[in-house]
Amino acid sequence: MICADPPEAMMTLRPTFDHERTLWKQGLQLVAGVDEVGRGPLAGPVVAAAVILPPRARFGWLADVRDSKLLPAPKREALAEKIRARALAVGVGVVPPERIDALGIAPASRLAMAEALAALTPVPEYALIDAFNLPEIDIPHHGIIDGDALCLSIAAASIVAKVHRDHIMTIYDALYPSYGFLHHKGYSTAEHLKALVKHGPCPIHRRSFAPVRDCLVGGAG
Amino acid sequence: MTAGRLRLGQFGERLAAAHLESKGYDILARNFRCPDGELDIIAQSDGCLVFVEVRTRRGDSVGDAAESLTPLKGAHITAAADAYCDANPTSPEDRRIDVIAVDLTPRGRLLRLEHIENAFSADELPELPRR
Repeated sequence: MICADPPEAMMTLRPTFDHERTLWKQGLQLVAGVDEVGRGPLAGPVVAAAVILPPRARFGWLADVRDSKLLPAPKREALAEKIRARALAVGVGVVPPERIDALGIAPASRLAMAEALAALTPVPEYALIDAFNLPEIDIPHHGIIDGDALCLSIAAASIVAKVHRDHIMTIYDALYPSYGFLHHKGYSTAEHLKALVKHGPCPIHRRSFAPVRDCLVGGAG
Repeated sequence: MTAGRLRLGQFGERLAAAHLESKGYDILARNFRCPDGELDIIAQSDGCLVFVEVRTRRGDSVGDAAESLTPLKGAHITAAADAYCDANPTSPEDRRIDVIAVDLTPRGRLLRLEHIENAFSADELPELPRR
């Protein structure tokens, strides 16, 4: 065969500093990766994180950094602590359910990312953003499709955002214990939908999302 | 303190208590008051008695509640912790003071909760005036 087998190569693909290196070579030092989690769930906030890693960082644990969805929770939490300890800056943006209902999920996600970037000190010179371009920010940036799988700074941001959001949902689980937020974190699972029909929405449900809205209008009819 | 601010503080304490429960702490008491000071939450974890000061802030962004506590406030918490132990002589010997910072949106939604263990070391705190 002439070509390498692409599916296998994709399986072992790990995020790299390729995008960052291009910017570092141009003399930029402060490059932020930005990612967001929690677009899909029926409840809870959308959370974004922005992370500036030290240029040309060679921490051993960077080899374990990848899209947060591919990591088990304890590993993710340990990595989030390492990222927070060694990053030059970490910013988080949280947009609560009411704002998601008012703005729509895509603008709310962009707002969370803009807030995460605005929370960074020092201000980054450039931002690499998962999927989106953000017209509302002044910082030079571009979106990278599949950024959380390809780009280390974005993958690091995905881990910080996921751990932050999971923590919020753990606390909401204790406050609203009928829904199982601890297990599904607000995502649409059979357990969650069943509880939603039984108990109706709680204050952190996204009323603009169809399964929640349907419960408000007439129940199971 | 207005009713609104009081409610905000109480909601922050509920969230802090929920956080502690999710971490496996037993909540022993809330809002313990004595002449020298007040304790927001008294909890127990792994045989250690934990006195928790909750700082709740309302704003639009993460990080507003991370404001530092004054040594005087720390001295009041320590004095109240002593009073609690005097009133509850069977309490564990191991003690520590934690701070939980809660950032809420103006509508009361959780932005961040930060739990700082061992927030004060007793020997750095000022003496309270004798009553």
